Amino acid sequence: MHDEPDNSDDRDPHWRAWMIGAQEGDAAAYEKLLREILPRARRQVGARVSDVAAREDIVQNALVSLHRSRHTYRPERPFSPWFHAIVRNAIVDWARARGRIAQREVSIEPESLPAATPESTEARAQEALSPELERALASLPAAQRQAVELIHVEELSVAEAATRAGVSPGALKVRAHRGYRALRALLGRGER
Amino acid sequence: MSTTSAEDRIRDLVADLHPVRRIPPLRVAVAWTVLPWLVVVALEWGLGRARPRALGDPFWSSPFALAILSGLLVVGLGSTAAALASSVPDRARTMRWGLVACAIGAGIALGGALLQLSGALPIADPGWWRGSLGCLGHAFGLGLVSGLVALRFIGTAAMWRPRASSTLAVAGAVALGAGVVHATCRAGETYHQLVAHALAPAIVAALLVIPLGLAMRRLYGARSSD
Repeated sequence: MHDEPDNSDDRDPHWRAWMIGAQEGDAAAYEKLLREILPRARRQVGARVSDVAAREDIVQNALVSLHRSRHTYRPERPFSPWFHAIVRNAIVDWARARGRIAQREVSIEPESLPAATPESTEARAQEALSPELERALASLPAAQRQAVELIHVEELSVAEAATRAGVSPGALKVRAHRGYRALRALLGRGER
Repeated sequence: MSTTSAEDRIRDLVADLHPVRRIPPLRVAVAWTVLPWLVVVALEWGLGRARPRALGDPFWSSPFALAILSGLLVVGLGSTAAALASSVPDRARTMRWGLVACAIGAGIALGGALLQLSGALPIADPGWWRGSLGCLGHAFGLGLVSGLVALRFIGTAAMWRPRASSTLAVAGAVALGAGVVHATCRAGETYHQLVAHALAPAIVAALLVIPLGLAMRRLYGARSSD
């Protein structure tokens, strides 16, 4: 992937034409465009993000952002800078979100909630949940419980969890944060 | 980590595709944002609510007064351009130029006001700030429609930093209004000119920064928070 020559300038006229088609509703042009720019997005993210697990999330968030922002592309301008700005914004968003999450959650996961961070699958997570944690989870308000379960039990990304819960990513993060705080309080009380 | 593959994501996005209306070019958007300010000012003058000073007025020969006026107009245009550019993905360079213009304009306006203040007598009327509230409100009113047009553009383009973009938009609109207020206000106190004219964009923006950010996020959603 990293050995692929960067021929963005050569491809720009095609991308521009496909993007104009996409703005007019041409699905075939849009699909060609997305498939062709996907490796570029991966390369740009790969060059700036060392967290391999997060890269694919960032790339997909960038694609979603491109989709939502497609009306802001102006045909008289080159496509590549517009696209790279969207990917760069997605990287910045991820870095900021990671910083916020680290600030809020770092002390909860390893110490208080050993069973709340299962390694991969939902089934394994269900097996690993301790009865104490299950009771604590059950006592949370439904919205907070759902947020914690979606992110830490089902291991969805924030964006996917937000879509599943039918709320904005920001609202989901707030719910999850309140849920962690409540869980920590509940489990801390149980230990004493 | 995402459980959806990029292939699935592309399929979803293609399935969701529908025609969209492009945003106008940035310079057209800036022109459409500034136009309501010109119309409101023309209406005010036409209705006799506020008239510019006569050409022989000492205001037009005061370097301090002219520095405040020109600085406010530069802040207005620079801040508006930066606000609109901040919502278009590949216009970071325009945004930076807008911010530079905004900083230069603010320096000129505040410099003029502070230099004027340095030679001023102590405040004679302790109630000077009451008149300042009137001028602040007037500047806000003159820029209101322009501010709303800018916020609408920001919200419907690709808003990324709602709080920063909306604050810049409001500061720009109020700066344009404050420029007109400065050219028409008959109050001569230097403190008044500093607080109610030169600092008007900063004061109104500081008061509105949090509610505006929340309102923009609620009205238009946001890909990120700031």
